[in-house]
Amino acid sequence: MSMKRDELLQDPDFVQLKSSKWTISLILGALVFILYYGFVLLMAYNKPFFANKIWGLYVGIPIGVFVLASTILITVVYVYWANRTYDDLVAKVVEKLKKG
Amino acid sequence: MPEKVSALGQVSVETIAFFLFFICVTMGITYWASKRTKTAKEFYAAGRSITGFQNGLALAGDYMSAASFLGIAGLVAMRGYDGLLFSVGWLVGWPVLLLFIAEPLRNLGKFTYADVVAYRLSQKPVRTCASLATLITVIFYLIPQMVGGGTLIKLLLGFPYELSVVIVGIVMISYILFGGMLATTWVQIIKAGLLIGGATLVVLLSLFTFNFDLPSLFNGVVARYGEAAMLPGLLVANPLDTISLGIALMIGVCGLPHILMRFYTVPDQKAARKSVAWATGWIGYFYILTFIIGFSACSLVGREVIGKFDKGGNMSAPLLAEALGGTLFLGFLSAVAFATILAVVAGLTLAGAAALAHDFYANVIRRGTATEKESIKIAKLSTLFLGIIAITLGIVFKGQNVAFLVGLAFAVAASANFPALFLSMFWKNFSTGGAVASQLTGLFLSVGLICISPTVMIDILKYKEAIFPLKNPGIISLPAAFIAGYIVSLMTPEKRAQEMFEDEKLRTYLGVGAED
Repeated sequence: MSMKRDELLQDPDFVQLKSSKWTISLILGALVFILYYGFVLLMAYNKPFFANKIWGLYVGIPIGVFVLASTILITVVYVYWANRTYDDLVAKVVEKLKKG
Repeated sequence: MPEKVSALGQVSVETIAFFLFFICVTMGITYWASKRTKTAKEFYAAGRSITGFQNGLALAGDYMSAASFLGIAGLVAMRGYDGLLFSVGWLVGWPVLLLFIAEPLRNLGKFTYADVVAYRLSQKPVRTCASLATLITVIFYLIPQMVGGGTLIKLLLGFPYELSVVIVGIVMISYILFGGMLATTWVQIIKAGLLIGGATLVVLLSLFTFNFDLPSLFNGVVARYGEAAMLPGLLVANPLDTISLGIALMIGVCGLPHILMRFYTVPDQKAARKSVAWATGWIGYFYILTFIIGFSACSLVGREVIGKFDKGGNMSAPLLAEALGGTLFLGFLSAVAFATILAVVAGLTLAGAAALAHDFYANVIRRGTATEKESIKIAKLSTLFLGIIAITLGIVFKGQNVAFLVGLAFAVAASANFPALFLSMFWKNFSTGGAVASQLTGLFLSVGLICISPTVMIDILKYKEAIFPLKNPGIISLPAAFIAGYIVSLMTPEKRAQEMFEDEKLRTYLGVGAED
């Protein structure tokens, strides 16, 4: 078992699975950070900006809704990716594990 | 209080009817669930029979407390735009939970997040600290729910405060005692459906008043209360404070025991992942609704009237419902708010009972030798014990300003629970000593700092100045917990834990060997 385990940990498919999962997670995670703290800092340091109007609305309202909606969208993107790509990679590696 | 402005605060037939109907339905579910709750897996994890979609709704139900429904709508109604910043802060933790925690958490654990923290380490010290941190988080979160629940039911229905608290406590205990996680989950799902449906209806009715013209809704507010209502205001007066609170909220979600426990109710990592996306969608949609509800209440009911019932604005959503749909709609929404409180306290209490029975009793005291029957018996005793504590604390803290405890619960979850969980999942050299150091540092630093913060020293103890300048300790206590875990792990290397990390990898990423 332990030999097989060590081999599997070196297996290119497993390595790829790990690295793609981390790449996606870190990119999307960074996006959440930028969105949220961008919003906080904009509110903190550029209050006059919020007096502008767009489509007859104060600009802060579409911005706020945009931040909420993109947060949701980020989770959808991840799940979409994971359902299509990640699960396939997992199935592939598990198959190798079973065959030994 | 003005006469004939609102039926709020009077016992109304409609409200009681909705209220009893909800209790009957949920008790029926509890009876059904009790036939399916025999083993520990069924009691703690609903037999892992919940689907991703259902768990998403249940997660949303756990998270959308009465405080966030009534509180955010109230904040928007009374303070304007600031309320939106608040709701964004409550949502951004969910993608983080999905991207880094949800799947490995499901793959590595059994019933509680402490299973994952202790996976490669010495069970006794790690689980002792984790159950302590869980209990403290749960109790800090429970107190404002109970106090808010008592106040709310008194305001909405006119029941005496103490009676309301006792009713909430007893109903919640019966859900868990007889129906375990299965009943708790379905109560959450029903409540989430009612809450989202009710809020949608309020929004549709108020938009109808404005002919579905959003600018005219907001212009109405500006005409009455000035442009300030649409601009950032007091909440961002101190950006560092806002950032520190933001960290606690964002990371806190990934450390809340009752949220983490939900991932064991689904069959696999795929369902775990889907459930977070559903939850995020529902919660985000709900926050957009509360934002519109807040501004509609501001415009249609008016701050003067709302302020007469509750200075914080908590009654703005029920008052708006009454203005739009009369006593019947007020009754419906009041019953929904009551259901919300019940469901949230049930979820919290179950998480606390799991920490006491599964982590502390079964794995620390009995070192894993307890039989299934004993374990469930202790879990039920713990439920009873925590329920009584919740009722007692709810009565003791009557009339106190306890809203800050929610922020503290998030700070503890972010500092005591999250760093240890994260390091245990992803860092090979994490050791037992490191886990204990990280959890205790996070716990004591977050609680200690809040005691000397403006929240406690100025707002509650009425000192002129506070020793620690920030209202929320997250920005200090979270990094400190990571650093403590890192340094102590390097000082006390653990060979066995490092070797097990390789085995753990297969389980973390592939779900091979995960509990089914």
